[in-house]
Amino acid sequence: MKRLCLIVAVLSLLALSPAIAVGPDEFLSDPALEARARALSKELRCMVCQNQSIDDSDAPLARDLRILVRERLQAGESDQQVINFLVARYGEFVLLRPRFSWHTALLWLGPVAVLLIGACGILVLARRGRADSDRATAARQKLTPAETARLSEILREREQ
Amino acid sequence: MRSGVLTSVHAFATDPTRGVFILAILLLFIGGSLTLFAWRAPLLKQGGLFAPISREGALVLNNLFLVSACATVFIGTLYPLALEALTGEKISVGAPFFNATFVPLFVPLLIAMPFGPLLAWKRGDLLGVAQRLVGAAGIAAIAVAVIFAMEGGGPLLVPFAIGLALYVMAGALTEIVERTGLLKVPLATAFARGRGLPRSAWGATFAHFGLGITLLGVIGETQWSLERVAELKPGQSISIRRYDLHFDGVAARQGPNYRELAAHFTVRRHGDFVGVMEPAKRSFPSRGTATTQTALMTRGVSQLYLSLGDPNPDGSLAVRLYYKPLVLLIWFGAVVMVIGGALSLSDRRLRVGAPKPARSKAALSPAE
Repeated sequence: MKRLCLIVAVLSLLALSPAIAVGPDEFLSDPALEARARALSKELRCMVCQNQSIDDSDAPLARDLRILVRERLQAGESDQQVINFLVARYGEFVLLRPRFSWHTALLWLGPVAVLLIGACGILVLARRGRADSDRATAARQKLTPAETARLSEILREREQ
Repeated sequence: MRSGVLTSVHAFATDPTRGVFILAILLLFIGGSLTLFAWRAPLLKQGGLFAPISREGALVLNNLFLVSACATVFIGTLYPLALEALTGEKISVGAPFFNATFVPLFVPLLIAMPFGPLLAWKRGDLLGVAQRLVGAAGIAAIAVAVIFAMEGGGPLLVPFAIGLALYVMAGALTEIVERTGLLKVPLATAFARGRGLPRSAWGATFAHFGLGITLLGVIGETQWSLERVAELKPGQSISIRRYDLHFDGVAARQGPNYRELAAHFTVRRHGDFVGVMEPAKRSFPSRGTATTQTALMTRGVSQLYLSLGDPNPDGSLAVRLYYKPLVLLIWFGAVVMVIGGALSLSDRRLRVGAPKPARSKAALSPAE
């Protein structure tokens, strides 16, 4: 959940006080290019501190990668080209948001599948519940053999 | 605290004190709920029948979405492990994945949320409830328009997210406003009626309203946060939003078991003195480690964070400054939700034992 991620992000900010991640010397002078670089860095995993993106991490490798991303962007590459280059170098592991492919299909479709299966399950159960109750009502309306016998007995008594 | 099999998405416990605290929380909540379940499971029985459009139906829908969200965390956490074990392929599932999957799950849930308490038990009237929520939707629409105008275009996400939060808050108040007749009868009458309402109704209102507050905080923090990174020499200033931070200089200090290099900043807003912030770098010689002490300043419900990088040879200091608007609302919202929970737990229905219908019938029968 976005909220949780963010609360934790705030917490970690307060609690761990990370040292400076993106250094001022790394920033690009072009704000549009810099914004793209920041957005890209947030999607890439740091290979050293594996629970951080290269944007958050202050490991030397993360710094090298940030500079690499900026160099590539400055050379005129698209976001996708930069990502392709890093994936070619480090593998899919570098992406914090895995690409959709046959081996991540279950991951991406899993939440949707759970939602749909849950919804179908609830509908089926609700329908069955109603059918059961209808049957129960019908059964209640029908007389048992003992009741039929008792009823005919009463009727016979009346006739006499 | 952690086995190391999974790499946590977030860095939680790097020191044992916090680790033990988090462990205690987990134990209390998970252990507590499982114990309750084990204790009371035999009492679970099939409830009465209800139509799909009813308050029960709304609760089921709510649970469906929350369980899906829970399953998403489960899948996202264990999928990389399973994939690596099966194919040897390594992938990462990080914050961007959870943002991409949680938002579509929560938006419909939040839209549906105000409907829940307004629907009648057993069989509700969806159209009628929608009509009663027109006011809340109107407030949200006005907010979307105002924020859109204020932002001067820009991404549509922010105005709509704020609109959703206000819709949730106004939707939560709808029931109370209607039942007390706040807008129709004199204030004193409405107040008296409000006191007469069951605490469970107040509880639901508080809890849902609190969620709206938290949502506002989340939106402010994620969408309106500002960040400045700069290298400053004493005498220079850095500004963010309406705040100017003047770097007065650094001082070396000796703590009980550390040495620290503290930077002194004077914070001014539109030229008026607001306070000082003193971020520091601490080094612990006995363990050879260094930590960064972030300075924090609270202004209303917003906060400023200031942290230091390493000093440069030319005497300048790398600083990182954040402005986090509305961030405290995340916590205030949680507090309001807790109040809501406490109110509904103290409802008369749970405080005073309900008279048992069987006994009263037995007492009445001899009089026939």
